[in-house]
Amino acid sequence: MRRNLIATALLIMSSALLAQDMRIKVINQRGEPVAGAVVYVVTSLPADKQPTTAEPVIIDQINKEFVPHISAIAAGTAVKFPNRDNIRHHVYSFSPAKSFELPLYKDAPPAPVVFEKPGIVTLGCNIHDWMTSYIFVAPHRYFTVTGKDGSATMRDLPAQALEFEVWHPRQKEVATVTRQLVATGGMTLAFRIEEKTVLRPFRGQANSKNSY
Amino acid sequence: MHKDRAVWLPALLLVVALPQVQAAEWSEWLVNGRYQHFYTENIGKTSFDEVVRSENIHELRFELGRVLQVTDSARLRILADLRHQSHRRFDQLDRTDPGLSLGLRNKSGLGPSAWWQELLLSYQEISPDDPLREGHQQSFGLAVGRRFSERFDGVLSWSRVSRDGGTGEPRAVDLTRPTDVFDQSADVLRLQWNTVLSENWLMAASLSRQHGDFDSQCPNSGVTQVVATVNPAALSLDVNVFGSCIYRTDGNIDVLDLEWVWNISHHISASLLLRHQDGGGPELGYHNKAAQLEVSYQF
Repeated sequence: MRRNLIATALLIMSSALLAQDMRIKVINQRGEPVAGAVVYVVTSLPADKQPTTAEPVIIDQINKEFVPHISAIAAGTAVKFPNRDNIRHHVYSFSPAKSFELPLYKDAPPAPVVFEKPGIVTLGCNIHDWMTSYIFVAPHRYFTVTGKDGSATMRDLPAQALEFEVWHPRQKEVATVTRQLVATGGMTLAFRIEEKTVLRPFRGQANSKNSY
Repeated sequence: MHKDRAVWLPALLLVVALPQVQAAEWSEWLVNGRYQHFYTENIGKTSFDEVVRSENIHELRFELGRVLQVTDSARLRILADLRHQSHRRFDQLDRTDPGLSLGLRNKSGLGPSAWWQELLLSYQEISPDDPLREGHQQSFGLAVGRRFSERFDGVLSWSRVSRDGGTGEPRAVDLTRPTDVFDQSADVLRLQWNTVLSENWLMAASLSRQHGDFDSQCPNSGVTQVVATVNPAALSLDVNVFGSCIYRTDGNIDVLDLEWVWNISHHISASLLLRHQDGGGPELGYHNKAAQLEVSYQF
């Protein structure tokens, strides 16, 4: 996840936010909000400044799609993959950060999957090739994922110089920005990323042309 | 043709036996609807300019089926269909027929790039208002394919297609030859290459060679030439439809298809197909161009 800095970041002071919260805004090259962008702190932080481990995260399979399409978790987090469809799915990942397989199952798989290693994990379903999902595994808990409006809030950040990066599966290159958090007010970080086309096997009738 | 029907015995055994596999489970329902408008320049596949006829065909098709997940890597697709074809000029060819297809597909590995292999069987009734053409068609085939990258995938398939036609009314042109022009069998080898152009557009190019029987129209005045040139296996008057003669011979038919598919939503797509076809031999070859527009809905 190393960089080639291409993004422009704007720092906007805002007294409406708490001192150690960071408002995030991610837009693309056309100025449109980018949903599902993962913004995270790159600066290494002492362990005692990191929040405690959270409950297992859930990635559903609904109507032959993974929901959510993009997730972010801290290393060491367990993820459950419940299948809400009335057919079976076969979840797998080849990613170096976590390679695993949950052979055909319905309802809930036997146990959650723990993601120990930071990195990007791409999930697929071996039955429905168009089903894909991404898990961003961060080395700590200072990250957030933007919503439909391209914005998010990162809370309880330590008041020190911090370097941030943004990642999205459609992003051409990682965008990085460094900012000093101040105790007297919140900030908004705005990232502008260059989006690329991400191709996946078609769903729908066209799917019959090229899918298992 | 009875030996071809023997294919359906193992097919029946598959349908009965595979659900008994311990891990097997009925999964997805398949409900599809399609509308096609097909234009062909040379519907009679004729080599004679004076009997070249173009045609516009409208087809509505409804498909209902189910998938049996046999193992972690194998799926059996059973699909029944009902199709209605309406011809603008030659309405004697209009028909409403049921069909059935089976596809047993195995994926050798995990992920979208794994090779897959498929065994295919199909059966289609053919019942136009013409005793010569009335009958059925069935096919048995094998296919292998894989996705080579996020943009490209390919399929290589072989199939044996058999058609059992009628003998028509007793109007033989040449009493020494049979009139069962539509009793045909042929092998089809096909290579298809799909290119994902964007997140919603796909282009499919395929090249196929059919080797075996095919039918071709000829004018009554051309019968002597046909007999002398290709020595047809069957010959008949085609009084009900084209009003000329029709014969069965064997040879190659090469087909190049280019298709653009627009994936409108998860359930709806539209496509345009352009076809170039060369058939027959050096003496009595034919050419055809065709185009097809399709809108389909998949549940």
